[in-house]
Amino acid sequence: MRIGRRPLFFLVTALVCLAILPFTPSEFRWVNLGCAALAVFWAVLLAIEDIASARRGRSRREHPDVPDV
Amino acid sequence: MTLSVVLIVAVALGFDFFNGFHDAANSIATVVSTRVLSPRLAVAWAAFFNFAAFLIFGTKVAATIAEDLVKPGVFTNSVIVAGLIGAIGWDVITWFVGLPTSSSHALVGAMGGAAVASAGWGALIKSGYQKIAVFIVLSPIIGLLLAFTIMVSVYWIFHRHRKVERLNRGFRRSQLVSAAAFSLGHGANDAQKTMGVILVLLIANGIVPANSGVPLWVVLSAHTAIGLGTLFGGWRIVHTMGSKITKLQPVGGMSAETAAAATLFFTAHAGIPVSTTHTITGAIVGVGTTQRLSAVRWGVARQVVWAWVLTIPGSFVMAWLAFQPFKAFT
Repeated sequence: MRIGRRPLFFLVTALVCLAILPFTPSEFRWVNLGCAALAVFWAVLLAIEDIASARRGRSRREHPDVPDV
Repeated sequence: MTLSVVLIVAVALGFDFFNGFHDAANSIATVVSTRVLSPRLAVAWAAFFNFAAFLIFGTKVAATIAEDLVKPGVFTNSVIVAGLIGAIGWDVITWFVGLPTSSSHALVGAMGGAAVASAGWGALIKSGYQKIAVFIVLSPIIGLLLAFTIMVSVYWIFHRHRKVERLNRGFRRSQLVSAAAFSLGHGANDAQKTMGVILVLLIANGIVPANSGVPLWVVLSAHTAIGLGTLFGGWRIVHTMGSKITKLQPVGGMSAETAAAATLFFTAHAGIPVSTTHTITGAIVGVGTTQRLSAVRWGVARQVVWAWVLTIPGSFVMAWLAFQPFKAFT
């Protein structure tokens, strides 16, 4: 099962937001946290999509006669 | 008002004019490339909303430039002139090299460099620089995440829509609104930096009292300068942000501009000077990422990161050097 580069990209984006959290003025820390949360959300969704499409591809190779539903 | 103050105000407004001249392509790129408007009409559209921004946004960014970066009393005419020389010099050098730097960050770095040359490191207000440094990184990320979210939402809402031609027409039209919103954000953010410089100049010369608001004539002249810059510069700049980073469709242009505009509205409201160029670059990368990572030309994104790293120190050093002749004469 192979996860593409996009989930990793969004995960790195989330890490960058968290890494600069200590330097962010306290009244704007919610921006870092919100961005990190949104980036993790997209990383997880894209990873699920990658896994699902890899499974679909494998089952198509193993059962070429069964049509996709 | 002395002649020297009038001249420095003129230089500051010149900086603002070239900011509009240079950044106009950011606002009109997608509207022109998708043929929603002709280049001349698109430039007029952007210039109008650059100017109109003063009706909507306050002057919090100007206050940050004037009060949160350098301690009161450090700014003198020579410090401000050296700061402007440093910022303009850095912009010209990076324009020759082709580095997509931010005029805003150049101004912030240069004012710091001139202040340090005049009064030492104690002249700087650490918390002000810290806020700006954090948002140098955060503003393109906010643009990227918002643009990605808008694009995916639009795909999700319209994925069953069969009348693609009609849908495309709708997105073309919506680009008029998103380009106007981005121009409003650009006008609010970039014109206010010049207002901040003029405000400290007026305070330093005792023309307005310290902690006073920005006079209306300063607000109007800064917005006029950036609007005129956009009007004169836009249609000459042929290479567009859109095609440089990733190929944009009307829906992508609309999403990128909306995301960047939302980011700029927030930062203008919070009084944080950010780079409009870097924000729209982040948003366009976000749109490209909805296809696949290889749809983004990462060379341009890499250049933006270099611009992040180099601009404030580079303009700081240039302004520090520009102040040395003034030091010799005092």
